[in-house]
Amino acid sequence: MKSFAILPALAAVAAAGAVLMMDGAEAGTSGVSCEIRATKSNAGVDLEAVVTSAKATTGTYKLMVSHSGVGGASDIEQAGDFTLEAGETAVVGEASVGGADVVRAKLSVSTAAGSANCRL
Amino acid sequence: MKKIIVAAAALLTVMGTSFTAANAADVIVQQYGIANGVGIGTKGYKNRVHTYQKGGFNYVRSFQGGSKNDAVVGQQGNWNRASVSQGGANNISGVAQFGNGNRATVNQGGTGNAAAVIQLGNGRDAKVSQAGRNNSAVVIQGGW
Repeated sequence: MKSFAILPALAAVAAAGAVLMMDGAEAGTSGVSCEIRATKSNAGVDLEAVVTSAKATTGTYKLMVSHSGVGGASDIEQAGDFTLEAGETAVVGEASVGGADVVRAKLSVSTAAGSANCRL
Repeated sequence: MKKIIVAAAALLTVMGTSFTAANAADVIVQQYGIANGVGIGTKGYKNRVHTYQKGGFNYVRSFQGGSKNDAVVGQQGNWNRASVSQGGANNISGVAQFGNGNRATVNQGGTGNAAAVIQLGNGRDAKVSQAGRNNSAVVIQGGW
């Protein structure tokens, strides 16, 4: 049976290593803050959507990542809910883009006490 | 485990082919040549849908309900288009497109899902949507 030798390349995507950190963080007025951690890898940029809360809380997040360049364009959108203990920091979403000239990311966090937004 | 394998030889037109399967099934579709096109739907859990298309007017539409499913799409050459939808939790999807039209759309609901899209060469456009907790997405584009 014929198969595509190119497919194992998918597995290699997850193997990219981190070498450089760049952060885009913002503290909200509600004790909830968000941060987009960007780590440059061999393949491109790895992003983590991070939320921290001073108080125990539940909320929702939305991470939007777009990239464009000579190699093409892509959009990644992640959304969902989260639960944090007091003082806890959690990664609520992860995204990686490769072959990008320009990467933009926005993280919006909403809780009963307030909201926070951050960009990269 | 049920296994469904469909291989379409070069120059054979397989437009609008569709399959459905239940739990723990493997669906493998291979299409070579002219006007490829396939739609696949599975229900339940632990289903695997692998679709390979080489040459022709490529098109894949894959839907999986339930959890712990995986979907792999490989397309090489000509008008590639791939659409993968997965509901439930802990699903995995991979789309690889090499050359020509390229366009990939991945939608995943639930928690703990992972999606990877690789596009090398020509049209390239990728959209990944994930809802729920602990999802991860990778998009790599490049080439000629």
